[in-house]
Amino acid sequence: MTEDRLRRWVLGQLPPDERREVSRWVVRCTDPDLGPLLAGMLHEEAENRADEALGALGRAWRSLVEQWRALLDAGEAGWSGGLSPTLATSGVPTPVVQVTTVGTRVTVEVSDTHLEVAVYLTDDAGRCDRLIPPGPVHAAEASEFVVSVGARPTVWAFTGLALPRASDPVDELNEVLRASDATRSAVRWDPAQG
Amino acid sequence: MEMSLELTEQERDHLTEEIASALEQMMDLTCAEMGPLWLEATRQQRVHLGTVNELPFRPSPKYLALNKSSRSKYRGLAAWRHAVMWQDVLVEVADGDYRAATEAMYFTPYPANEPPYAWSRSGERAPGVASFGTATTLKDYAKEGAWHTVAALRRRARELEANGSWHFEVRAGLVRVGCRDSLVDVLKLEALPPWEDG
Repeated sequence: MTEDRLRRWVLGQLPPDERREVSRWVVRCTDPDLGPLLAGMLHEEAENRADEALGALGRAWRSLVEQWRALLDAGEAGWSGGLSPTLATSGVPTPVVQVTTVGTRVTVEVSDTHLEVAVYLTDDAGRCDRLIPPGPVHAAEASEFVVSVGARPTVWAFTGLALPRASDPVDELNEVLRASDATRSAVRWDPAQG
Repeated sequence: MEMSLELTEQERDHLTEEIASALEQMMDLTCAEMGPLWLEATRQQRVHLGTVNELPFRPSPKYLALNKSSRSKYRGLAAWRHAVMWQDVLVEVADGDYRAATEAMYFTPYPANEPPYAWSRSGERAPGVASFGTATTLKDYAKEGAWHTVAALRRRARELEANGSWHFEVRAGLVRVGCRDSLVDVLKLEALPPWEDG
């Protein structure tokens, strides 16, 4: 018996005949380390899966930010500007997202039922200090957010991607924004002008 | 009746095969985590089957360090689940709703390493909860079903002990591990069925 064979047994990776052979062996093994060893193997596997999931989330998030940068490159054309900007990207049908601001209200509407949109509000310094809502706005829904008077938020809308589901991806966005000139060209809505 | 002090090789092989089969079944119908927990719960009883007293290799310390030590009550849960499978006592739960709820809550696959290793605290996520109306109903029915399985296991242990051979004594010992008094906490029961005089 080898450690690797036991690992494959507890992870359910053995063919039936070999599995039974190992099952018989473990039933007859009374070493006190056997149970903890197998449990540790399962925990390692669970940690690996969690790491992979986090890695995938990170990759999705970076991809999201890259797309946002591309969007900013075409920013002036993409956003019609003013109080009712329409967001368009080269890879996404137009118009996808309608962002309307009236007073302190920001309304986001999604026109394509196949897409999801996440909306983030950043402060005047470009820091993403709020994530509203903490998840995507589902397609074909309109969501309204109220921002405080005097705030100078930027509406960040991401579409057409596997959106991040982490409860708090704000830190990572902040890091990217700090390292980027993207903030400078972000479309900004100023409630004072509204 | 005089008891033989050792199992014959044939008895040992037969018993090992039965137990190994139930072990695989339990891991498939619950989660892989139950396997190691069952091994920890039954080490003393398995001495009678054992031919391997020590692992033939030095286990990697990283694995042993990853093991959680605060899982003792789940060993009892694993032992109960294994005994239920091995002794096939679910069929002795006469009420079909109770039996179905117990199967849904305790004998339906779920991810390993997802505490509390049972649906007892998160009934709303239990497979098949919709067919019971509410999670509370499912939990209540599952408790009733679990109670009946413990009663059946206790009867089975008594029957095996009454047989009077070492072969049955070893079986009874393994069944007893699956219906210990400590189960009352992990199954959230108010009381366990009493041991009948034997």
